[in-house]
Amino acid sequence: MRKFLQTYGLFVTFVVLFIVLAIWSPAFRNPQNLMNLLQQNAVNGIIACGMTLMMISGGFDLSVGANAALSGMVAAALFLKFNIPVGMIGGLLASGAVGLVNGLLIAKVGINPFVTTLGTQIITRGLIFVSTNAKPIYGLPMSYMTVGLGKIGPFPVATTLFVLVAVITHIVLKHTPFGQYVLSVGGNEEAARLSGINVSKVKTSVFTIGGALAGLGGLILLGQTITGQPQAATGYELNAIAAVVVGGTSLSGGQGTITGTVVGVLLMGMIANALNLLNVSPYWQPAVTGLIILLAVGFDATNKKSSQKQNTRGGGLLAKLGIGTKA
Amino acid sequence: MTGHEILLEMQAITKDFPGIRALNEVSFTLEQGQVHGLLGSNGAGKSTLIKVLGGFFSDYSGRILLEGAEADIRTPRQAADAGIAVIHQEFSLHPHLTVAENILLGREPLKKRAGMSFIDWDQLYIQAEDFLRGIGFELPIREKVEKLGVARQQLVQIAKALVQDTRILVMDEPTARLSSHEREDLFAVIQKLKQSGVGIIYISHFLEEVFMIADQITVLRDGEVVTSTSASELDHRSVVNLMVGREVAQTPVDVPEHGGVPILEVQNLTSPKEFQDVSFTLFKGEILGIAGLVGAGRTELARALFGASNGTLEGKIRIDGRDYTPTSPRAAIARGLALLPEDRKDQGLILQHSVADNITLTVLERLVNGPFIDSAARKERVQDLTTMVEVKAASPQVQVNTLSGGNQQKTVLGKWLAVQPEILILDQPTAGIDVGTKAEIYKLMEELVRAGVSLIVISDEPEELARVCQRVLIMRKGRIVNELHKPITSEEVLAGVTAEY
Repeated sequence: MRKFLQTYGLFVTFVVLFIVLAIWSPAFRNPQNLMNLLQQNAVNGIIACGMTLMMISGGFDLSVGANAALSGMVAAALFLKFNIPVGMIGGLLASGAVGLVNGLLIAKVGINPFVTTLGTQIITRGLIFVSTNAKPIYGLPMSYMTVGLGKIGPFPVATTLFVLVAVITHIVLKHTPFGQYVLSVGGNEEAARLSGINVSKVKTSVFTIGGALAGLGGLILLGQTITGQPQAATGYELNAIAAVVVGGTSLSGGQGTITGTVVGVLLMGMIANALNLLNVSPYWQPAVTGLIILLAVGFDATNKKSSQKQNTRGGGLLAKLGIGTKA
Repeated sequence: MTGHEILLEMQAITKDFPGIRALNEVSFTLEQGQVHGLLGSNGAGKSTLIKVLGGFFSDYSGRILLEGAEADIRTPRQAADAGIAVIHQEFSLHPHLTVAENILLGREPLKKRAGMSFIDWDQLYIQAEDFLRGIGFELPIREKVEKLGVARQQLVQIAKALVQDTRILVMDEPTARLSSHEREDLFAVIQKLKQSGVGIIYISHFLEEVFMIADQITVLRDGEVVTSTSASELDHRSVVNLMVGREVAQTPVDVPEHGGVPILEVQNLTSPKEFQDVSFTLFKGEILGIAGLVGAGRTELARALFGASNGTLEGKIRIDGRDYTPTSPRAAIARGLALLPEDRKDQGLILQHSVADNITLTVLERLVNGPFIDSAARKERVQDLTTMVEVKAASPQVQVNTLSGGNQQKTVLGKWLAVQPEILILDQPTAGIDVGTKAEIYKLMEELVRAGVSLIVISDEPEELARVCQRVLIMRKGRIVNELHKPITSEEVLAGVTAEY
């Protein structure tokens, strides 16, 4: 039982909560609400899939929010100048480039991920403001709303993209050598290097993917507002990290799954949705979110302590932030 | 010369680790003002004995008497309170604090202001200065410790121990990082400490040095005391014999003579600060040993060959007659090289991953079907490898950190056999492994050589090198200083390694 809870605790929590809410609230179990739930969490879900890869590799990325905004702004500008496909490609390239820069700074220059991505977050956001004079970009083609809120056949586009991203990142992580390398680099970088793995290439790739997925999130966001907002996606990096952590990915790297992250995203989205439907003040939501994170991580930490001695390489959040790592 | 007052008596100390008895009824006596050399090969129990004394273990049996009174030492705190200080090779100083702050850390003089306590900095430096003058150390009290050289850092460490009313000082390889001039200074300090009645337990691999400084010598072997006698009754040769013991009738690894075909030729290889002008040849089907003390440059040489070190490399290397430049482990693997690293936990394994994941990590790219890992092929490879190295695990899916050291090491070995290397470098292949598993690993080495693989074995254990190798190179201070040929005895290896520098 204990072992079962350790492995499936998150899933059990999710299913139990879902059933309770469905019984309690007719508004919650309304299929339209459930579809909305998926659609509303698609952006966070897509960003969180990228974040999962980055965190498993032993890093994380604070620039994803700014990067999503960048992608949206670049796309919006290109929509007006050229057309939608060029805009979308441009947005993805821009955000992928920021991810690549993150990866190179972390892997080649050796700056810690916290500092690197904090820096690129501020720079990216700053450059967006400079280049637009902090003004939104209006007048985008309404047809682009399909990407944010529309459907192709019976499938909502945003949700479909989320599912696709989740499935692909899951397969990459579980079933390709690259995915196993990501896990290994996060688990023990030196052992991975000595095993012939090109560690800096793996890290750089992971951050580039993470950046591009943030960009994809930004494109969907743009499709929901049809306005290029310089301050779009502010704080999204923390939502994504929260979902990944709740989903059971280890903060010290080397462990984690996309399925966990997807459940983490949905769990947090579901709670927000329920609070909303139950007419709880929206101001409660951050506090509840914070509590869930602490519960999830606390549960994980007590399990680790009781089931085995602390991993000798245990990085932990403090170490990740560069605190207390000085010899 | 000595006070003859008995400071410390350890009686019948026994300490077990899973599957192995590290200390068996060891008794040890230290007198006031005595320097007591503690000798033994690796694994003999020296460090376990010191850890018992330092309060690192709570689960040992036996008694510890301090000046005749029984003392219960089960925690580092209790050891410190009892006046016992252990100075390890790695110092426990705070590099960013000054000498005075380090010495008086945790016992800073305070002053009261407005009902609150603040550190009295003036008083702190006065106290530190007085104390250092009292013990005759000359140290810049306001200098940050990181600015000092190793030798003076060591003095700070000693001063820090003494300020805590230390009566028993354990020095573990104190000269390993010192120049010979600095060593003279240290010996002068030790003489002073002796006169003030401190008892010193002195551990060193440099036997000559122990004879220069020690009054009494205790030799441990396989967790037991072989001898404890006045230093004047022993000499280098007799100590080596005692450390090695009667050559237990261990069957040497039985491999056919190699055919004299060079597989790896190293010429004048130099990595500044690590090793200099290293030249040797490894023949196809040979087991070549490299012996030396910690810091002799053996591991650095192995890592350099494997492309795992960042330093610049001069010299020439040829594999199978073709030039080879080590650039990365990946490139090395492609040329048929493999390295079983020194530290299996930090360098060999991803501890929280499974045996299967670890053992196939080096060959994932060969186990693919299109872009995906072929899980059937992978499973089969895992099966083959775990069978070959005989990993004992409930299933290949268990995390490696749940396995014993021996099974972990077999997993690392399996991971390297997976790449089917032509040259396998084994750095401390049996460190911390029980006798049974050791024998299995030797057996495996024999099979590998019969299959045409050439091995380089780096080991701290002379018995192991004598038993396994056809040739042994002795490294000292970054250079190859000697080469031993079969038949090789443990004594020869140990004597070569421990000779005066």
